[in-house]
Amino acid sequence: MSGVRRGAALAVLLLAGSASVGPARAASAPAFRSGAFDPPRAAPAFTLPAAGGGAFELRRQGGKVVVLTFGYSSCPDVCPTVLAELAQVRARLGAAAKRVQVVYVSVDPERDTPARLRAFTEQFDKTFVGITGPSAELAPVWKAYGISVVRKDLPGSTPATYLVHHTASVFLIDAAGRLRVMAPFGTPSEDVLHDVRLLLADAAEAAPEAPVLVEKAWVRRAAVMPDSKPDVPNTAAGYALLRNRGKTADALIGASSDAAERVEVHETRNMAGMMMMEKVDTVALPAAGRVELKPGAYHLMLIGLKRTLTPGQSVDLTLEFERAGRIRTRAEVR
Amino acid sequence: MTRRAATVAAALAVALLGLAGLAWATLGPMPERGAALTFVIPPGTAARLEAGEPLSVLPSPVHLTVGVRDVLVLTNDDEVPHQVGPIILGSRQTYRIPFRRPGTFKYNCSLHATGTLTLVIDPPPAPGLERLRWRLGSLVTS
Repeated sequence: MSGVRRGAALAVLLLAGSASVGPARAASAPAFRSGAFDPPRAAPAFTLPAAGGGAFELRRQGGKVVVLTFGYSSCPDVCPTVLAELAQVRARLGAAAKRVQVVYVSVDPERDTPARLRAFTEQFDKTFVGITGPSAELAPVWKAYGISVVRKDLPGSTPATYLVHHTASVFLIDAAGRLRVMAPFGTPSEDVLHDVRLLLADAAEAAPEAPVLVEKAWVRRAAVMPDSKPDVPNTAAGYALLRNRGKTADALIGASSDAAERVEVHETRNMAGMMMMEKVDTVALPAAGRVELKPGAYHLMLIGLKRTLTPGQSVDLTLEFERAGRIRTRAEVR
Repeated sequence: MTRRAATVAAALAVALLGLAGLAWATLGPMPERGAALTFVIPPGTAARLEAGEPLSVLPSPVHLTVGVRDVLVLTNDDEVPHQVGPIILGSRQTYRIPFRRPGTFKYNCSLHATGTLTLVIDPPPAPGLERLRWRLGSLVTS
């Protein structure tokens, strides 16, 4: 963030169009209730040790909305207020809260040990991530977010009881890692909740570029018999986990492979104790749902094997979905 | 009805309408959302600062009024980022913040004479003269 002229701009801001009575916001911008940036830019990145263990990397939050704020565990008033309000925001989000990560960066690394900071944040919400470390590592993050940190020794305070004056804004970072909102201290928590909801809706709409995923694909070993005849084709079964991260239902409607003449989708059914296999045309994949193609249930049938499939090899599998189109994956032979 | 009676009735109706209008203007509800107060950091600001040019100062406190002018907009048209109080504005970026409740906000600002940038959000004009004055004022400006 070099080049930021802290405060300098304040002295030079020109009052322009102060009498304008135009519409207060552009029609295209989402109606944030707290302070919002337009256009949004990438949030300053950082990777720092999390108080609960492991590293916290802002860039790798798996499509979550990140709520970032700054404070310290010995903070008497402001910090507990902010954290209590953020805990309330998460509680009011219900199931959607799992797509929100609250991150609390210490402004008092001298006293905030990882254990102390963790104990402090966990009082409010066990999912909150506290971040502390050497001042030299934290200071660039404070600066990048415009957080001023000033130690105040009060009359009569001991070295252990000083205060740290700090900016207590709440930053909202969208699922794509862009800094969207800076809510100054004092922003009503229902406004923060409102804006988090906007970002979650935004993420669900814009996001997953590939809403449907094909994972853990494998095919069962199968031999091409020496005396195979066209009317008795060699077959192998294939399995995979289908995940739909989108908010629109999809369906598996077909499949193909480089290792077989054709691939069909079958369902194994237990008809009064007799296992029946039936070809199906579609397998529904609900929004935000998953379907496992597995032994004894839906599975793929590779028909007319072109080669013997031995464990350790892999084959190409292409699954076709109604909305997501063709998705190609490698399936391990087991 | 005589012509005279009709005239009196019409005058009475006009007077009643006028009174109703006045009552609404003094006591009627305020709009929920006001207009924006916009500050712009013009291009070349950083360069002019480095050259030591004197430039005009942002007022402090900055006054906003709920329902009248309650949205603060800061736009950076300069080539480099600037920081205003707690807000870091990238080049050609805008920060827009609406206020729905009265209150006073103070932010650290190192170069400001008092060291703080103060935002005062005033309540909407009170029913009565204040509201009447605001409504007449907005008639003139619109």
